[in-house]
Amino acid sequence: MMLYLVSVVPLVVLYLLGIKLLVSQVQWAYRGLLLIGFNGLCLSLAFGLGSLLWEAP
Amino acid sequence: MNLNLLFELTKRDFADRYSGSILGRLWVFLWPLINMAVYMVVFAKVMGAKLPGSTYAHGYGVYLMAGLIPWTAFSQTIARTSTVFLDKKPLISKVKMSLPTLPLYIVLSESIVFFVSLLIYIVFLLVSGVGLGQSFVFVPLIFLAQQIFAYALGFLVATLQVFIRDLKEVVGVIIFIWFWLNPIVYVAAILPEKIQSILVYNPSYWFIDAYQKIFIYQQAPNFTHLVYLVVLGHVILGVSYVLFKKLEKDVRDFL
Repeated sequence: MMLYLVSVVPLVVLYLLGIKLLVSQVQWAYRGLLLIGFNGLCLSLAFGLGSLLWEAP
Repeated sequence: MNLNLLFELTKRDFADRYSGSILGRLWVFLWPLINMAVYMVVFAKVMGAKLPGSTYAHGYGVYLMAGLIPWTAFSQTIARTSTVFLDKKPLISKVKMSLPTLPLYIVLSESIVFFVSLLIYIVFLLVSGVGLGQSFVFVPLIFLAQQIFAYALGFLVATLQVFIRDLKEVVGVIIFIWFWLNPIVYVAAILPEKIQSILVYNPSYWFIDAYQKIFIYQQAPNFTHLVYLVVLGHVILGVSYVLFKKLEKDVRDFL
């Protein structure tokens, strides 16, 4: 559990930085798609990490 | 949409919900409390319902609430999001705003109601001695995945509803049937094996089962199912977004 929590913190920081970057730098008309994709990727990673690390000692 | 507008719309949503009532926003706390008390009393005391494999008197009530609280947030988000463009027609025609992010105030509003209900439920679990497992830390993430899925479906229907008004009734029927396709009132184990094997393809089962595992059995959720939920929710959201962009001009004209 601890290993999971320790790994998720940098993921959350990277997520927030990524969202900020996408919102401020990308001017594409469909940039919403990038936000959706990035959000989905981070959330999948959070659950993927859970599956790998939750039971780890 | 800027955050100020989002908070203002959410605040107004709560004000509209309880406008004219003496207790006002206190109903946000009272409703889940009454709901829970009624279910606990009716199922545990009046009907004597028991959760299979549990000796705990309120076991069935606790099981029921573990599924019902997230389902209510999920279904309400879909139902309300799917009519948001028509409901907010006067506002949309007056204020220039981003329509894809407009339903976010509903997601936020339903999330507040969910977390208030959850808080009451957790207090009940702790007071009654059921307790909470460590896997509880996944609840906010599961809720986020579930609400993105609800937002995606609601947004898709909201775009189509501008052109096909009957969809409001269709959504109501689908949500009603969908509720019974989830093991919320009944336990999945009582279903025939064939039905149980089909049940795992129901996306709402993925998160309902996760809450039940966390609150009832104090186990980690099924992460594979949750990744499926995230992928499905985001794919539908992406499709809804592209469809909306293609139809945006027509949507604004029809409104």
